[in-house]
Amino acid sequence: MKGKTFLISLLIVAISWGGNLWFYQSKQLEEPVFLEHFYGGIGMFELYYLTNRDDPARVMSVEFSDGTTLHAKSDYYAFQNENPAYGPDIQSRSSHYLLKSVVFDEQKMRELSVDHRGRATIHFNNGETTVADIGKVTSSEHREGNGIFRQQSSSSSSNGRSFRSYTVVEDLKIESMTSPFPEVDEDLKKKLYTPSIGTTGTPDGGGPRTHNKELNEEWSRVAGAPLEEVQFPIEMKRGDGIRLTMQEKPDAIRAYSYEIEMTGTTENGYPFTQPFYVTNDPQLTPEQMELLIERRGSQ
Amino acid sequence: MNPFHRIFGGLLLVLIDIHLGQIEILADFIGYFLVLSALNGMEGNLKGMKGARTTALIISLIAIPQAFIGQPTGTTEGVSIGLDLPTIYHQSLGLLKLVLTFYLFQVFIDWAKKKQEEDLQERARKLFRFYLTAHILYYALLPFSMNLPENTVIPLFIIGIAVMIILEIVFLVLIRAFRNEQQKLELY
Repeated sequence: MKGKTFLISLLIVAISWGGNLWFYQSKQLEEPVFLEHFYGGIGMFELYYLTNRDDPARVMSVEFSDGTTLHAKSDYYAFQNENPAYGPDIQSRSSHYLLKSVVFDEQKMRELSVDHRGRATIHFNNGETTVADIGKVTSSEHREGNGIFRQQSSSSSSNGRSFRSYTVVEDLKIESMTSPFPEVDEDLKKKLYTPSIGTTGTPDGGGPRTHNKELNEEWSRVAGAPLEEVQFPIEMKRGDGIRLTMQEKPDAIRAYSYEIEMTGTTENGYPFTQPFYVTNDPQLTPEQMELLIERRGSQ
Repeated sequence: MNPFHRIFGGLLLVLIDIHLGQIEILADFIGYFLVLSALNGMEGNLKGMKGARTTALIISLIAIPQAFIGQPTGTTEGVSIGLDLPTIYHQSLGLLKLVLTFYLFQVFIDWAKKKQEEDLQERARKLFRFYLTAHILYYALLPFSMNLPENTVIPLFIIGIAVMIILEIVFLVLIRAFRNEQQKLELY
């Protein structure tokens, strides 16, 4: 190899470094991007946000729109890692970004009766502060079990499918199902199955289909009828199964945790409410991260 | 001491990394100084000798801090190449070493030519081409690890490192052949 060839090769190496550094820089976020959350006071409140891959910043506390302030649970800080990409708060990573989450105590939220909408002020452990739309965060009263619905099974899959099923121990009539966040439902398909609805599929003792299969079944073959087409009231006999299957749209990037409330009366005339817990803990692919930045970055 | 023997020892020191905490024992800069002293002991009119001496001097000085700052985080935790100073420093040293190797090859080939060692000259020429092509490819592709997904980068990175180490060893073996040849010449 001649000196000239070698020099040109070194130049190519330099161009490759320069180009890649430039591209890497162009991908950097000016500040973290927060997901839209719908939290109805059920389960832990997890706040999700996207940072640059080499950014070690973590959320310390949030000032909600109603003036209440909550500090993040601090257990995470026990495990410090030199490289931010391998910390315990990392949900997903791509070559440029990290999806981090931080947990808040639901009991504390209940005490403060947090009721938040829209923009919140968020403090990070590096002293930075940012204002961002984090969606709707509310607390709820603790709910007593009603003893009428027996949890049978619940499962969720990484493809956005999940279901929850119960058996009833009394004859009863279901009169309505309401969601506290109707805006979530637009991108969340739901199917309700009871023996009296049962238009397709044969779940819960009615046939051989396993839960596992139900999670991977084509949506049109999933047991039950689309929730918006269901005629209320629904009559149920003692021992009948009821199942709600949900399918999240793949490009609907948000986090939620709340309850759909079902109300009705038992055969003896006692009213009851029964929750169906609906949750989505996002794991984002690199493509979804880009999509999120496109939609919610620099707002 | 035979200059090829010293170059061999020096480059071996560079190849072997033993760390005691942050401090590297058998530090690389000692190896580069050995190479420099060997080059100073050789004839000055060999092709590439001037460049080799200058590069060896520069790299022995620049490599001194490396003995005390340890490895960049990129090599101990995942393979992400960051923009931090230690990584840039580490990569620049790698490139300087490549420049040094370029001149060393020129010196060796010219030495073999002058001593009419056809076989050795041909062997060095072949390795010269392959060694430099592989290293330039490696350094040109390395920065893409900043922007490509991890599961593509990691296998490539492992293959790259393996090829680099094998080439390093083949190069050392070649230097040994030069040393043996010179010893033979001295005996007669």
